[in-house]
Amino acid sequence: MNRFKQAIIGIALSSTLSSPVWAADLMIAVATEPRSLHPLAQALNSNHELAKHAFNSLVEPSAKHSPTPGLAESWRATDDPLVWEFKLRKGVKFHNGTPFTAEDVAFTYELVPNVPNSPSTYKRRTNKIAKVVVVDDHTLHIHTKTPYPLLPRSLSSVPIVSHTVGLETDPTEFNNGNMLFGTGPYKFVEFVAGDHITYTANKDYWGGKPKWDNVTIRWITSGPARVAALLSGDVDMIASVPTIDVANLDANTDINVSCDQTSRLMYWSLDVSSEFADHITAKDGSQIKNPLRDLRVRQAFSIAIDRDAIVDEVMTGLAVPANQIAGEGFGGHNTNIPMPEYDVGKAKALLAEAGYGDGFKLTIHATNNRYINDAKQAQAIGQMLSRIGIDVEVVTQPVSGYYGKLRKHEMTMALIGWASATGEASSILRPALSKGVRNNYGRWEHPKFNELIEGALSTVDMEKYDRLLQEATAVAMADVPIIPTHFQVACWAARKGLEYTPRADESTLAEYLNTK
Amino acid sequence: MTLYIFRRFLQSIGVIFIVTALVFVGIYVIGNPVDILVSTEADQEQFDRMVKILGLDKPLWEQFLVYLSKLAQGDLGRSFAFSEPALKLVLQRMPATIELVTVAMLMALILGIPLGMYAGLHPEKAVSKTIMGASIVGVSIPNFWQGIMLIFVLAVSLAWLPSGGRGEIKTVLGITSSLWTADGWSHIITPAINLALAQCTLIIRLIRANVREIALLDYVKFARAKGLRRNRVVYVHIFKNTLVILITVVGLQFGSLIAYSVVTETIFSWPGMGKLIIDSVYILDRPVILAYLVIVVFLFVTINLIVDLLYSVIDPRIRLDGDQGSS
Repeated sequence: MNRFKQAIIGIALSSTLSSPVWAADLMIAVATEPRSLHPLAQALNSNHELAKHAFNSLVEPSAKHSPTPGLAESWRATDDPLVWEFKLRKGVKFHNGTPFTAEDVAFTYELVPNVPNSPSTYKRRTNKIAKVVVVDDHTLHIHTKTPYPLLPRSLSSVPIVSHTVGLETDPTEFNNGNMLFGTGPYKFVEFVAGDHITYTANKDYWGGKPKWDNVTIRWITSGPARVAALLSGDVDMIASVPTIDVANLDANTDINVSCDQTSRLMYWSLDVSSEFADHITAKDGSQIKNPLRDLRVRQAFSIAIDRDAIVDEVMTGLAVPANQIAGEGFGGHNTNIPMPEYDVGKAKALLAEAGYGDGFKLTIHATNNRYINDAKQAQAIGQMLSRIGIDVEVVTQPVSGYYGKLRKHEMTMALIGWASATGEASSILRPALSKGVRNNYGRWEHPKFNELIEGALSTVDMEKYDRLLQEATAVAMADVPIIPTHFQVACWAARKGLEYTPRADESTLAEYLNTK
Repeated sequence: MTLYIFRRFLQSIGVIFIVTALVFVGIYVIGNPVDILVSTEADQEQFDRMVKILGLDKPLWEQFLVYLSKLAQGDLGRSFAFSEPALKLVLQRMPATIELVTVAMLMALILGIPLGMYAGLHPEKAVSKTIMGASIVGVSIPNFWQGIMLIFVLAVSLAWLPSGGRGEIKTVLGITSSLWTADGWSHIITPAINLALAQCTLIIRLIRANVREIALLDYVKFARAKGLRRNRVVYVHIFKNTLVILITVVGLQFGSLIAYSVVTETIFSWPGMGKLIIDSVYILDRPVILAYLVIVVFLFVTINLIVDLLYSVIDPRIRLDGDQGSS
């Protein structure tokens, strides 16, 4: 009986295994469910990666996040620095057969800030737009309020919907699929909340025949369960491979793992402004003035952190050490900024020079359910700082409530993760370090920096933009208002015969999965 | 009888009131949901606008009163995160949970009752001792680890069953369920085993203890002395009398499985209510948490009611309070 059973299973197995690797039906498992199928309802990656299957943007971000032609074949800043011209692709049709024209683009950008009941719109990507002028069906002039170099990049994350959707349509109408027609490579078929979504190839796709006939995306929240689904052959690919499983899967010849650096930066925010910091006291518990206001103390902290150890030990190699906002190969990266060299002796000397040779007491905060190994990172940093004589207490908490406290400046040194929305430095630099903005948790202020970053973001001369942005980065990093530690690496794992091209924005897109 | 049901109904309203108040205060203490909902890059204006749309700018007591008055009209509000009616979100996922719990409970009963009876009737036999030993293992292995092991053995190593998900669903006689399809059954077995193991242990131990107690009672001895067939003594005199306690426990467990099958649902990516509630707690989605709790309270009250009614069917000595005058 047993042998008979085994034989049957063997046959069943071999038939599944021998099915051709170019089988055109694809099953993918990702970790996070979407909160809405409306492509513009919420600026969330889990929503956006789904939207990318059925919709296109004017400009499409490449795997490394640089702008490439999408529904716009080309674009340029005109002689008037406030006007950009976009030439749209001709002959593109929405899934319902209506032709795509400039009117749809104008409609979309009007809809963005006005999506009914939306908790977080894509408004930040379009708020520089003063007006959209339809020149003809396939030419568009976008007027900005001030000269704005990042317009193409910003628009790359705004999917274009048909103007027939109407401004008043409630986003939940999209969840039943009625409105889910875009210009993208895949057409919507079915959505079962909490379980899966299915797409079928859009045979008329302007970018050529899509790679897969049918794509099903499942949501498997638990990491081990995702790995099990891949190993058992239930799915062809999984996203967000748990860090502890990467090495094992990599050693498995039936699985292809692909990893790459993302634009998500992990850094420590420092309270550099309060006269008395909430979580710093002398070692005997008495109140002292905030030592973090002293540059030498901040420098000491930065070189007391062994970034390589964090990458190797805490992140099991799945991270890239960071000394600034954007990694190598990303916009705004300044190659002249040195990587802070780990040096306990020098750090102690700096502390002594600043008058804190005996150290002080400090409580640091981190989330424990938001970023990869966030709580472990905090513990490691705590140990590293204790080596230079700081008494560190580590407090970790769930992300609910964490950022609320940060914005009220109730934390002195806290772990932050921030993925650049545009793939370049300014989209973190400016909101995190400009004077008086709400995500400048440490309330750092630097007139020269403000001037440089505003300068960079108000020119359409891309060379000037790049130069100013790099200068702004250099000025900021020299003053150590925050301590960057690493960029996260994201991993995907696919079955034999398939390989994913990693994307810096951490999106999982069927079109990026290739046969190998 | 009617009075009894009415009183139960009033009780549940009281419970819902208290639970709602607790959730309101609890979430208020944890933080502002908008901090999590809006994207990192949102500016102050966008933030304030959202706070206003969700009505979180009002004082807590006012938010509470607004919620209660809407609740009284049957409106449970819209989810902060999904922008959909909270009740719809919860009800959408309820069938999956109920289906899973029902199968798990049936498994536990089908396996647990005979084993428990056997162990109770023959306490000294080696087989009984094995059953009792094995049943301890059932409760002492953490649910989470057990689930992962089931997946690795049944789905990865042996490749007999799928590793998770709900499988194909079909609508028959107006009931949409995965139990109408073979694919659905292949998906439900593993998570149901995961959920059933602890229940099965509980039932075995419960029945065994109960059987041992009843077997020594005078009426059983008398039945034996009268020369009744052994089967009749076992099935009518003993088994029937274990039913009262069995129904109490099964009723309670059924309710709590529906409410707390979170772990199993997460491991097996079962699209039920448990997964929804955990996600909602993380993002402080108050309307969904409340809608869920209201439904769970309602379910518990209903199940308890059914259990009470069954008591009086099984054991004529038990009468429902408030029933005395009318019968």
